[in-house]
Amino acid sequence: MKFRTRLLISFGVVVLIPLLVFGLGIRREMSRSVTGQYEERVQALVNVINADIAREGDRIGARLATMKNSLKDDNNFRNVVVRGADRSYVLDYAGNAMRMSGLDFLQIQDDEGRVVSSGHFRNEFDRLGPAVSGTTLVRAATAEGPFLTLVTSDTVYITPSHRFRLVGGIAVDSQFLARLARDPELGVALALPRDSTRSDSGKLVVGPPLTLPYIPYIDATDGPGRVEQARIEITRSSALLTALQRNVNLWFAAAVLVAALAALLLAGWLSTRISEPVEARIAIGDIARQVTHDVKNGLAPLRNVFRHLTQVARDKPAELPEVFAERQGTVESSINYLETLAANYAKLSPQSERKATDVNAVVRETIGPCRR
Amino acid sequence: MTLIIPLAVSGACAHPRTGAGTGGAVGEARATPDESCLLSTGAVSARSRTITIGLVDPVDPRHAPIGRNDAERIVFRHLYETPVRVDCDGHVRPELVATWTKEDGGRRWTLRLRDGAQFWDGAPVTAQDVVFGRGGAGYTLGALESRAVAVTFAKERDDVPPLLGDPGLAVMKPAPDSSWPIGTGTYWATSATTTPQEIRAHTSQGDTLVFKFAASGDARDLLDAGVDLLVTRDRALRDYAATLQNHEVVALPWDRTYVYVTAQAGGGSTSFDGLEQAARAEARRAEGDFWWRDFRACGIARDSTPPAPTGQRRILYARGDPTARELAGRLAALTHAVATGRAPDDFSAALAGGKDGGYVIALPRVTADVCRSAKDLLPSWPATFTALVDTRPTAIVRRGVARWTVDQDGTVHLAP
Repeated sequence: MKFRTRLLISFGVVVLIPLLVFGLGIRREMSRSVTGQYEERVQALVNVINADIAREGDRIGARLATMKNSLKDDNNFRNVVVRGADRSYVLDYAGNAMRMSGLDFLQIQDDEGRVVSSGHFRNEFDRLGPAVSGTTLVRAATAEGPFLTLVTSDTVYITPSHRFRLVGGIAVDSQFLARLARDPELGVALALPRDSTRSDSGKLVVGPPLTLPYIPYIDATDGPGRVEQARIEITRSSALLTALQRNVNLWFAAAVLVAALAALLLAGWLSTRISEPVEARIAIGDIARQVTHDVKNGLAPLRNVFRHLTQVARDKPAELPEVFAERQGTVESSINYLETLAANYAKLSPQSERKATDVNAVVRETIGPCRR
Repeated sequence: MTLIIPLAVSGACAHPRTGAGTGGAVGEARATPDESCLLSTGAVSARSRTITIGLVDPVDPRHAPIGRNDAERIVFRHLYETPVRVDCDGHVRPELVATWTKEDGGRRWTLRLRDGAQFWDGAPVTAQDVVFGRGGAGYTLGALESRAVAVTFAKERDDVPPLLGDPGLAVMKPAPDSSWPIGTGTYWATSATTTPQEIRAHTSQGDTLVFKFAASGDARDLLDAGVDLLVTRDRALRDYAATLQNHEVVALPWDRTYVYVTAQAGGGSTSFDGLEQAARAEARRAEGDFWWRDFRACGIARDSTPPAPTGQRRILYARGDPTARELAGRLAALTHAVATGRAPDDFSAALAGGKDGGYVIALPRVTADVCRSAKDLLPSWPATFTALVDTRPTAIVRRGVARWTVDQDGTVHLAP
């Protein structure tokens, strides 16, 4: 691995790891902070919902009380109850009264709990209605299908022996739940017994379950039903947190890219400043080693020839001319080698050479492609 | 079929009862045989040149000549003629056909067209116009000559059969503008005389019949605007009319039976109580010998196996029919099902499919042509029919304006 590569990797590690730790920390802290804020708001909302439901129950109760007084004074209703007059008046009574009072659900039940008049479902007369006491969530039947309603009840005596129960309520639909929620980032949902249809992956249930409001619930679609418990769930949209995390991820990715680019540039610049002299010295050393080796190769034959001539001059001076003539070729060959060597190394250094240049030819050659 | 029709006719003899007094209280039936089907609306010295009829249902000329609601039946009855007319007593009266002759012991009848019978465009009505494309189970029509029609029955008939008064035999031809088909009635209408608010029908003598719709959706506005006739099944409207001066409130014959149709054998196990109270219209427990009990003689091809149910406990009714909606609601309450309304065409398609839990349909109590009605109104799958309630409309009539009469099917129209 080259020195420059090692330098680049080292810089990347040194810059990116703190950046990664920093980014993840921010991300986690942000989630914790947002969730904490949600929980505070949920706790406040729970109190508001409890108060709202109690207030709705009081409003419905007030309307039923008014209706009760009106019913007691109604001679036609009394005639039907006491003397068995045309029942159609009673059958239509709850429908008219319900519309006048602004309710969505109204039943007038006799002492046994049988419906004698129904406002939301005129033709359910003679069926057993739900036995309601206090504010209750009721799943009620209509001709077209069931609907949820928040009801309360009251009792009216037409005569001392003719007691009726008024059960009235308002529809619990998405608008009602939205009114309970108030905060656009929070939602209110109902968890009903045996209800497996609620599944919304975009919603997160927040808050400890014990803090969430419970409410009595009766499923009266197929009969009077029995009292069970329904739970109001407060949900928050995961969209905001998801969007925040997506933004953080995006910025984090951008920061990593910028940091990586900066590390690359820095590493490049530093390598220029640090690694180039080192590498130049290494290269010079390599060349010096090669030159030394080559020079030694050229000097070795010369040293041998002179050692031989010295030996002949000392021992057999008469043969010196003859021996010199024999070894002269070797000497000259070594000298030629060294000259060639010097010439080759001399080529490694750039040399300027002055030559005459045809400027017109250069221009023509330059602009030639453009003209075509 | 020859057995069924007299039975159906005899069951239809429900005379319109006449009003007796300014308060519009319901009174006794008129006894004079010739005028037994006339509504008592006081003495009429001269018929007004312009008569207004209020309509509470929509009217679509494409449905002519067989009306799908009370409004269409009244309008079509004034514009289109059948060979004969059957009055509220079941007596056959001449209309497009002036005379008839029995031959071959009653198997063959020769009908002679009314002199001067012509289409609105002036073309004379020929026997070919009467017989072309027509005929039914148990009888055939043939043109003897230009103005004589031969009707041949599979079985002998003592009297001219009422089925010649079936709206399906009304004589008409397509109009160039594809609006109102060209009929042969005294009154004529075209797209030029039709607006969303009213239909104006004229005679060649300059009389005008104005069919006025309740533009506001409240039929009381029609009464306050002074219409001369309004037929309704709404008891609240009837009660309102009873408070008006110069108006008679006349109960018309029981003309409609609501039937629960289901593929379940026996119509389901629940007994249907309180149905008369469930309907806001004037209703009684269904009674009589219903024509849909047996129509094997019609030779209509029917499925042998009931359709496979979809598993939904759903009772369907035609949207726009409040009585059907109320009855379906009551049935839903009794059977823990769900009542669902459908647009008329969708309802017809669903009934033909038969995949729902049940259907509440309105059938005429009497019909001139049982086989045509069975083919048009009943499903082809093996169904169980449970008659629920009979209903009847009420005529609200302005006194002293015109003489009104009632046909066997309960349709009110100007007396000839």
